[in-house]
Amino acid sequence: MKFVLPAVAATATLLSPVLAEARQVTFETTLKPYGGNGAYLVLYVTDAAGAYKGTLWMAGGKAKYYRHLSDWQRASGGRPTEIDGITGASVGSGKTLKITLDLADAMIDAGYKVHVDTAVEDGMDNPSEVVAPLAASASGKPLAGKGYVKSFTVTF
Amino acid sequence: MKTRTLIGTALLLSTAGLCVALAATQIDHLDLPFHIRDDAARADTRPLRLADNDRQHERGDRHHGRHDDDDDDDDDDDDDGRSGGRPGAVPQNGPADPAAPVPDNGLFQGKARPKVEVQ
Repeated sequence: MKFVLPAVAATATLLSPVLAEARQVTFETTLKPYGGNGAYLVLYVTDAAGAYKGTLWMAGGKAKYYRHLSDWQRASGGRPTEIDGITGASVGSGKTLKITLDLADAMIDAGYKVHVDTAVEDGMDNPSEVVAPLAASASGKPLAGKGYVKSFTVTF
Repeated sequence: MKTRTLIGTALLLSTAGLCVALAATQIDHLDLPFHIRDDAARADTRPLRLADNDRQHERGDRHHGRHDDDDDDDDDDDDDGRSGGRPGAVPQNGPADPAAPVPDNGLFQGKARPKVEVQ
């Protein structure tokens, strides 16, 4: 019995850094009721220097349209490996895309930003139409987009 | 009479020469199978189109109207059920593999796939 408590303490000590490394973050993107085809949109992260870090989600399945997400295309090189496993359907007019993931804790309040590029067939291309800081102070505060995005909210 | 014959002969010869010259410019092309000729023709025209497209993007990165690739292929995304195009498109970069593990870009702690809902 006398070994149980130290064992539990040791286990907790070993596990705590692992558990503390991730934080659940929700990205909610609501589109305006623009009435056209489904919107392609991509969420990706840049660091404090503006350098591309990685993609969080690609909404839209046809690679031929990805070049209309021009800031993402330029930053990421448009490589399929950037979005393998994190690609879904395009988002309809007026709908809300809600993405929840465990984000590395070190990325919060460290100058990283989430960009949203959007494009609609027969419509506009909106590179970086929303740029939101990954900062605790911005949590839950909706931002308006310049194009199809009615509101974009990051919640920690 | 002699003059007319000479003029007629000269005309025939010059027409024949013209035909030979034209045929010589096309002969390589005609020897190729159809699909190769088609590719060669596309290779000739594509850079111009891409350059135009690039210029359009650089001009503002924001534009109205049909996307350039709509003419290539209209197999629309119908992910949200608003389809309007023809099937059979070949993606430019190849399809993304939805079953692949998440990218190792340092963003996905624990490699868990994001939970995604559309409401």
